[in-house]
Amino acid sequence: MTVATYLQYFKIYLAQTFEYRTSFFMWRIRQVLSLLLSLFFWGSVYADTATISAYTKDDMIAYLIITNLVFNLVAATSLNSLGSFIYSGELSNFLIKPQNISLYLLSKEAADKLQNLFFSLLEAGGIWLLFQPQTSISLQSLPLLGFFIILGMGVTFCIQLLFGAIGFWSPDTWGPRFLFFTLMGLTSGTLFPLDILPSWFTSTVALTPFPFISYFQGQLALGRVNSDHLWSSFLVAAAWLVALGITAAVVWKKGLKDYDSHGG
Amino acid sequence: MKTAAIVVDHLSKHFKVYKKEPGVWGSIKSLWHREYETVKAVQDISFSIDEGEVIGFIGQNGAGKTTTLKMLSGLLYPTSGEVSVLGYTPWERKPDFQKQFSLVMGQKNQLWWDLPAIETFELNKAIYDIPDNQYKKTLGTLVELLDVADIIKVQVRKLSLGQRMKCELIAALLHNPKLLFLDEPTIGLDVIMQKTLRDFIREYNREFGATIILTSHYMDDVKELCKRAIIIEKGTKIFDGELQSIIAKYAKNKILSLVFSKPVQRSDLEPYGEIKELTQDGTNYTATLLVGRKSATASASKVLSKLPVQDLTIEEPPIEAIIRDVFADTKRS
Repeated sequence: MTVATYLQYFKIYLAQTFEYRTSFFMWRIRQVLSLLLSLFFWGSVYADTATISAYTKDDMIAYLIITNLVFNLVAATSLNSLGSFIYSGELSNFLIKPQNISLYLLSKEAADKLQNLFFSLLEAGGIWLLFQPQTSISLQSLPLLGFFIILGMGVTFCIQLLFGAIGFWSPDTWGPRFLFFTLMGLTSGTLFPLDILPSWFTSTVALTPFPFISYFQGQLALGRVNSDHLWSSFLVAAAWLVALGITAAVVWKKGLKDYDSHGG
Repeated sequence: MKTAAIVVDHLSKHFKVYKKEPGVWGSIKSLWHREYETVKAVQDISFSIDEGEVIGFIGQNGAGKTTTLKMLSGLLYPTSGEVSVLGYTPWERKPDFQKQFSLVMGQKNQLWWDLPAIETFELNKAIYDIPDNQYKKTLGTLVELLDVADIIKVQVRKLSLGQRMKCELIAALLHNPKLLFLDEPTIGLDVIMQKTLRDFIREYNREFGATIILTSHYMDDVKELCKRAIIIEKGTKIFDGELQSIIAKYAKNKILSLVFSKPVQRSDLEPYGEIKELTQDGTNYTATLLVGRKSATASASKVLSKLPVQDLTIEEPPIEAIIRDVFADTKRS
């Protein structure tokens, strides 16, 4: 069990990504179209008004492009089918070999994130040039932005592990995931900045892991986070990462013991 | 004195399964009420296997063979009982243990479907930490023995079942495992391919002294490879001993399948064995005879010389029939 194992997994998954070209290109087109749709929608909302909450039209365009880019990195995942992978017994092939299952899943995720980063950057860059929002991006916030993107990835990875773990006990993995990810889509801030809603809503959502999927990173890039807000957000995100990480570890330990290894 | 590679002591595995009533109403009812029952997949079995032994693990579908193999390889935790495999408790899943065995399932792929088999081999090299020299040497030997040099760079999904099975075996053997669990390795393969794999498994056992547990539906597999057999039925062990003694006691006949170029009469066939089936429908003239094991070749030779035979095969009786007889005998006693 060496680093070479996980590098090999990383390479294999990267190679597999490009195996089904039509699906790959269709997915990328879907990503671009959904962002364009969102931008055109907000463009029409701004037709009669200069600002919404504290956002000008340019701020909103910049915010939407950045949060969509971040969402593609943080929330897009190769682990959507983890539950059925476990329930169908496919996990057996991996469990039987001298390797760490978390590191294996992490390698798979890393390959998915890398290709997503490359193409999402290209797409976001193209759309930025197309709309040319006149908003200043805080370059000093880039390292922090990177840090919170990685933190967000950690949180979503643990959430994926937890939803996937349902497959140890039930084939019913789709329903709970669907509900959760619908909620996440609404509260992660990719459709609109959360702070245009009433403050009680924003402060409640701030205590959940959802803003760290993309909203908080969008705020950071636009220079809208002061130092108090930064620290409190860091503490909330780190607490979620630790809590979800520990829960995932406990649930997986129990799951691996109860594993039925169906099939074969 | 031989050392035990596997010691199984009063091993049981029970599963809780959901029983669904048939029909749409049953499906709707299952939304709020479900009944579960406990299935005793493996029930209190004990046995021991020495290093280097090749054991036939025989049983009908659902008898508990695969469940036992999954416990021995550490995939499943048992409900009760103790197991020691190469000195390890399998379900602790220790890497040092996992590096010493392989499980090959005829109905499950470990090869990456969209990529050439060589990618899986490279991956296994990394997983099992196989040194470069050993990897190249073992891969070269296995590729040559199984004659797959021209297919290991072809996408797995484009290979035939037989070609895939050969590559599965290579992937499983690259780290020279001391212990092999082979679960139906020849299932779905044609007779020639079955023979190729059997020869290969025998050769692997001879060369590396590996301990092998084989499950198969084909009597030929078990008969050619295993001296000892363990028969399992409904999760319980019903026989453990010399395979030859079961064959002598329960498989006294062989099956002679004949295709004729012209019609033949029942009376023409009666001298050669017990007629199980005779078809004469104007276009097909076929017959199946049960002939004594020892006189099978002589009977076949006489039939060939006396009757208008177009095609002839001599087969072992189906393994299920033998198991049924052993099971019936066990129940009687």
